[in-house]
Amino acid sequence: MVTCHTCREHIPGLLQGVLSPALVAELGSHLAGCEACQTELAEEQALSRRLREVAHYRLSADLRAQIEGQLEGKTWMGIPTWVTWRWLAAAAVLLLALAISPLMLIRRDPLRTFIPEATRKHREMVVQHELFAFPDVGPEGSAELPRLVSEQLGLPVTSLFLGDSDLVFMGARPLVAGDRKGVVIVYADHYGWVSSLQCVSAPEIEVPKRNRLQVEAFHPYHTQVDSLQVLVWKQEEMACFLVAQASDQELADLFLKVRRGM
Amino acid sequence: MITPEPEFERLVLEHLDGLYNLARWLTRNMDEAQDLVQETALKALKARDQFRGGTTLTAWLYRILRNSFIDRYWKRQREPSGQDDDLPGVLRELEQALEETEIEHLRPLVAADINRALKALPEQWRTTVLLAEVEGLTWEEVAEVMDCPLGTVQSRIFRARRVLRQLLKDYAPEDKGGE
Repeated sequence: MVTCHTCREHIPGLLQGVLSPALVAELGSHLAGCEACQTELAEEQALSRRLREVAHYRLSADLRAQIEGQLEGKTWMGIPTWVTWRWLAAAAVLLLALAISPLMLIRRDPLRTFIPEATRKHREMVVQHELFAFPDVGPEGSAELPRLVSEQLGLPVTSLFLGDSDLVFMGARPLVAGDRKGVVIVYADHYGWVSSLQCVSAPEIEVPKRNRLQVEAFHPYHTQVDSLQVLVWKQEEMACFLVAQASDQELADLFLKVRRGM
Repeated sequence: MITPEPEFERLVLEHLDGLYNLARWLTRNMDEAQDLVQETALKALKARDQFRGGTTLTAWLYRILRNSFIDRYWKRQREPSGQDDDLPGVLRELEQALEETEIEHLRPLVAADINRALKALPEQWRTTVLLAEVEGLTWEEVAEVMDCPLGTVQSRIFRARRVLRQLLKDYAPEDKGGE
């Protein structure tokens, strides 16, 4: 017997014509006697009509002709046409930045640079979490995350904490901290409190011996910036920054989950 | 040298408008969307030997386009330079939203509502709805493009439609007030 809940769940499929004839018949019987579900169906049909009004962008005739020309059995060009002067200029700037970056590394105290950067990025992620969803790597794409992080950092990363029933994985984004590549991974608990783990490729950084916390067998560096707690530790050539607005005990619990997941 | 098969070319060309439409919705930028379509067509041509039965060409092409978009996004985040990229993500999104709101004033109000609601959805939901409801892909094809199980497509469509209906209701009073 079909309930209202089941019926409503299947209305999009009904409108799309993807349901089995048996299920369609069952839904039909339910709909015939349920006024509330009839209203729901009418609203969904109205939405489908509205969706047909969605802007449908069309390719310009010029670009179509250009692509047609490229596809018409011509030699594969080494540099596709979308590589314009802008791309070449960007590549030149990148090469220059790469050439200069080793000189910059020598002069900086890495933690002095990274910790404010990590808390700034954390605050940005909190706002993002409140205003927008994360479009890049969502919870469904989390299995892909270690691979993406490995690619971004250029370091082997085989596992990451991907959330649990208390701490949900919200999404991940690439980041640039100073001149380093990194990734920020965002988690949120049931109350909406956001924690972020930021991993940066930093082979030469040494975590100071002072201000260490003992959390079971681990000894991360601890500091506080305004109301945010920050833990820092190294894993091989990767520096990790865990940022959260949490009590000491909550921070320790959070750290253990994240650290054990890596 | 790669000599494309005429049949394959023709099929790719047939999909250009649909690919461009999704590219526009993903990038929200005409030039970038054009680059993305061009890149997709060339990648498809180069990798046509990798196209296998078991998936449709439609799903395969949309998947190349979406993966290229995600790759570009990640690459762009790695580059420290660039005026727009210096803006925090939130400001960039707000700026884009403002620009697009202006454009929407030029369209009929009724269409603006649905476009605005669709833009408010997370990318994964928006793309799922666009592919299934606007481009007419089957749910299996959408699952192929989005690289997720069929159940996830079903759930995204269900949740996205819920949110769209709510957003359209939210927009309705303020639009009526302007009449």
